[in-house]
Amino acid sequence: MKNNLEKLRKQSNLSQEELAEILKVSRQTISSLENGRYNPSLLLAFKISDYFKLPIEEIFINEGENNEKR
Amino acid sequence: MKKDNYNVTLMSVLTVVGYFVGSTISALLGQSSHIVQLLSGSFGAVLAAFLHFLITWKKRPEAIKAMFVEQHDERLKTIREKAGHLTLLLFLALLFLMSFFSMVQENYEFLFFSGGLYILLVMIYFSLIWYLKKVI
Repeated sequence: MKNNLEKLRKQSNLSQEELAEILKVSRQTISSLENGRYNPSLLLAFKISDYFKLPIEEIFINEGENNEKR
Repeated sequence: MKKDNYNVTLMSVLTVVGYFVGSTISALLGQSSHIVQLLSGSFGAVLAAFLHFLITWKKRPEAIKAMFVEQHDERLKTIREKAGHLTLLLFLALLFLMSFFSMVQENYEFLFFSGGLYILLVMIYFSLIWYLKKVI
């Protein structure tokens, strides 16, 4: 799954650590999300969407099952 | 984050050291009972970990906060679950090999022990899957 998290974070002038603190996850989780290595839970996806005030589908782009990494 | 990992490592080392110090002190005090030595070792381990926790809390409260965040971090939870599952599978494979070789060597005591443990673990594993499917 692709996402625009890195772009949105940079637009908000936040570091990975700052965003991690806001979302109450570790910095490595933010890094893994941005690199597409980790797909978030529904709860975390909603937290991200609430924070950036954007619908989930504008942040996370589903590329289909064949392209899933996990 | 590196400093936090160092913190957890230090706590683990201190716990092990605390265990040995506790059990050694009880042995030096003349306690020959293994249970008493085990209990005093465990007490030493808990005390060492608790003291380390208190000192870190006073000096670097952000390290404790980071530790709690890591504890509840969903990615790390997934990693821990996967690691636990893979460890169990490796352990089961090892038990299976042990049963096989003890059968080849006609060591029946070892065969019954490793085979029994293998069957028991597989039964627990599938029972847990059956139970968790019902509750989750």
